[in-house]
Amino acid sequence: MNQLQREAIEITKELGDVVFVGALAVHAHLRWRHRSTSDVDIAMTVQLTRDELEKRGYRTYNEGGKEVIRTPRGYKIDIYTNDVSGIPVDTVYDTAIEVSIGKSKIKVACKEVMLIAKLRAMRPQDREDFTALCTTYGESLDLYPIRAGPL
Amino acid sequence: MTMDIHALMIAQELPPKPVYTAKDIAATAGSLPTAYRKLADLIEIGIAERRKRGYFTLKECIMQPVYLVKHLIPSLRALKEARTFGKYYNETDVRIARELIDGFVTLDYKAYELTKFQIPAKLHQYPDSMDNAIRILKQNGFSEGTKGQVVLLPTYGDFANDIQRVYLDSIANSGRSILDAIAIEILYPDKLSIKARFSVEDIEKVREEMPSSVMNESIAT
Repeated sequence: MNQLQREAIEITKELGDVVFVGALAVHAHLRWRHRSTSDVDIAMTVQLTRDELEKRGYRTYNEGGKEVIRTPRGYKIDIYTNDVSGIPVDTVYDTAIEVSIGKSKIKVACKEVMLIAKLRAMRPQDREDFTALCTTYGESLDLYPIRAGPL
Repeated sequence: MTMDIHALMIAQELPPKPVYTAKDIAATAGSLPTAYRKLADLIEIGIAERRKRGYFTLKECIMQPVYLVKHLIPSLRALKEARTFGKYYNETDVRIARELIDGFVTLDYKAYELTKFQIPAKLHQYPDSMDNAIRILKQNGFSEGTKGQVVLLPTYGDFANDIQRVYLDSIANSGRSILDAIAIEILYPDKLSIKARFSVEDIEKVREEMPSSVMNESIAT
């Protein structure tokens, strides 16, 4: 188990029903054999206040005009409560899958959600993640939601 | 290996897409036969890669200025001729290979050593002797393929400035390695005599996500 997997388990214990999106989700779909930075993106249907986060040991502060949240172990996290690259958080939740890490389980956004999010962002790292997902899953991807456009 | 500047300029005008067809290039190149010739040139220098069903991909380093792309040629050539090996197809392979092979480590693992920014996945190494390294890996149960985590690169170009070489290799490799190049430029500006161009959005991302301990250490020195 690597540090990022351990962090995902701890965040799930501390914040409850969260869905991991971003590089960590891609990482999970690629069987944890992919590169990622140590920041963590999560989707939540409930917006936690600064106090609620701090009660759970999270640090919140302003850095360069932006609110930064760090986990008790120092990982930077971004919390999405409305949408992820234009995909409603409710859809991200409804289509999320459970992934086992040792004896623990975490929820991650499904491959199709991640493909669309990566396609919309299209920064260098998104392009690599997009290509890796397509190369790994190819024909097994469910392209219906992508073609039909409900996401 | 020569560089077709016209092919580069045509490719730089393409809109950002995950995959392209020759028709996309023809719109800028003027005709389909010219597009195929330019595409062949881009594949030759390692900037374009053929995919299935007539599609191809372009590396993000295509967007760098021409003077910089010239410095990337040795790295692009090495990456194009890279040979990949695996045994258990996990991190154990990297550990074993590092014990078995001598040479210059670049990309994922070297970038992580320099910046602590992105978790490494594959071991990319310029072995002191390619033939010897392949023989040793095979003797130790490694097989050559496309999905392994040990990547051997043939030696081309200059290695006198090791940080700059990792920086140029990262730009040539493109994808997530672009973030490594940015992190290297932020942390080791004085070690680089050639500087690339990156988007403000990517630079901000790296600055925001760089571990604070690494940034503080950099400011202190």
